[in-house]
Amino acid sequence: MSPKLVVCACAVGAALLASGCARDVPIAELSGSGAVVGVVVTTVDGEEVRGTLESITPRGMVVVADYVEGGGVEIVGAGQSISVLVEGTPVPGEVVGVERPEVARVARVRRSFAAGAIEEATFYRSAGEASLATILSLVVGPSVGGLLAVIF
Amino acid sequence: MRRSVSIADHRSTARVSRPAAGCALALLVAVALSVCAGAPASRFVESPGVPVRVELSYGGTLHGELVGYEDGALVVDHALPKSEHLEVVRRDGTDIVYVSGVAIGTAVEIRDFDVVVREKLMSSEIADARVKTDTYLGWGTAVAAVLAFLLVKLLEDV
Repeated sequence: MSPKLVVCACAVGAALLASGCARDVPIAELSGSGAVVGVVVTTVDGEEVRGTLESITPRGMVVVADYVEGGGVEIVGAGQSISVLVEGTPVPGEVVGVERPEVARVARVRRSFAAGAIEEATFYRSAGEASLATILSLVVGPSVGGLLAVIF
Repeated sequence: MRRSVSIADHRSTARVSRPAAGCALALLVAVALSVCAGAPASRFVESPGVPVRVELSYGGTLHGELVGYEDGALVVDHALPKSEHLEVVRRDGTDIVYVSGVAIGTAVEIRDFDVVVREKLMSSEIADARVKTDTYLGWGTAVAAVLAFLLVKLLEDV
């Protein structure tokens, strides 16, 4: 097989591999699917919650919210009895994990919001996925095109 | 006075232009990487919008971006091609989009060939909604590849 054909086959194979990664995930089953959607929920009570979307159904929304320790946020207890307090008031929901970044601890709390309790919400794409798509478009596209032009 | 160039000269010219083509390719990659270096370091992008496909309960499918949730409805931005059935009317400072005389949403952007419409979809209107994830390749990649191919070929001929 000629080197030109090998290069073409590799380019086509890489393109197919990358496009084959694309998946459609139902918005009611985002949890555990690997799809990462950021969300900012504002409740009718005026509370603003930032986190990751787990599901949207006609009944409401499930969000894993991030609470960074400090500035009125406390993470108390340990193990099964860990809880998060904001200005001394316990945050409703289930604590699913506590991460320990260098600056402050971050508690991840799974919270459910009824449809009627949501004033508005906005959704955001994962920065990692968006930047990888940018890299592929800006680097792989021109590189493959330029390489093919040099070879042929 | 016309200068005659032999086949051997043509070959040597082509050989000399190869490094120029290589330099052009390296320059393209350097520019692309410098643009990528400016990507945000936060976990999510700053502007709202997640690629989504919505199947409507009364038929049809919308491909667009899920931007929000208001009053129990999903807010989806999607492009509609301009046609005689599509009309944009400004009322109280808002551009309302009508399709065959029926208001369907507000205009986010009016472009040369289409209009980006922001539509609120109640759960009763939605048969299925799916978020598109891991979509790394698009038309942009293909266009960039074709442009780079043509640019390098052009530089080779200079």
